[in-house]
Amino acid sequence: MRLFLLTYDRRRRALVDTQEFEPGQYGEATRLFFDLERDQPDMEVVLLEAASLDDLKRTHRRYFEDLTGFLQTA
Amino acid sequence: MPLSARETDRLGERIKGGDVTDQDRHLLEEFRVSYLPAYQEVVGRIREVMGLHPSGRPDKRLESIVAKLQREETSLSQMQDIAGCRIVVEDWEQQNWVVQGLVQVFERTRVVDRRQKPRHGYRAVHVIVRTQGRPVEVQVRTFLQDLWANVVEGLSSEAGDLKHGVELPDYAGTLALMADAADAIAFAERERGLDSLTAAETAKLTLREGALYRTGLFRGIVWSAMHFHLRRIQR
Repeated sequence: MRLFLLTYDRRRRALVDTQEFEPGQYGEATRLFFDLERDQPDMEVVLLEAASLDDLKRTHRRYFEDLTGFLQTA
Repeated sequence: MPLSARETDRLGERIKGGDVTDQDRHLLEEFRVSYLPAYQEVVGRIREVMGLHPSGRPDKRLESIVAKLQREETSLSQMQDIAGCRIVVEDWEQQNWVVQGLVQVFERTRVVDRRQKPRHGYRAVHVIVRTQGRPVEVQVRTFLQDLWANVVEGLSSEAGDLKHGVELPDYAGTLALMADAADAIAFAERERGLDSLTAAETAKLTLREGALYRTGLFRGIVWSAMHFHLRRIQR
């Protein structure tokens, strides 16, 4: 299981940064997560864990794909 | 030295206003980290004993904790979802199977079936596992329930906090539309016992029969379901 630290810009609806950590690096990932959370309050910073980035894209797809494009046609 | 429940709740009361001092931020970080052993145990056993691959979220975001304290009648020490993970399955049958498995594998569990009591359209089954003195929330969703939830969360930055029943004036009616879409999906999954691809198609027909499919939101969610699912199959 790998750790992924995502920085998501809600206003632009875009993922602006992805950092990946080796399995078990909870301490390092968590420290950086808390730092980013404090330093970038306008961003949505989230620490997630998955077997692979593809698995993460499946369960947390909103960070990776714009699911709201159809609003333009609403 | 871990905080007592009373100290934790006092901390929750202080941060509820949104102004978080450096000292309280530090205390809250320690509190969140204290869930890690329980989280690791739960995710590890789901992988090793059940052979599943959940995606995990070891720490709830500070902003989400503050928002929940402001929104709900809950205290910090009672919050069930500081740490959690998510399992996405194909259909209701698999969802029931996974929930049963979780209840068997873990000694102390509480099942919250949001298929029976949806919240603003949100459906899933949450299993709260308690171990090492901490709760860990396991979300079990079907593919379509998960897609619906991701669409709602994605819309929230624009249309309001839809997940919690708040819509901005420009988007009035969005909540009702999304709830109808969720109902149609649930009907197709539950009553017809369909896999997610067929359920998406059936939901589309259900909405069309109800003359609701003409709205962009309905077309969008069904289009998304079909698009993502087909692409997954093609991989």
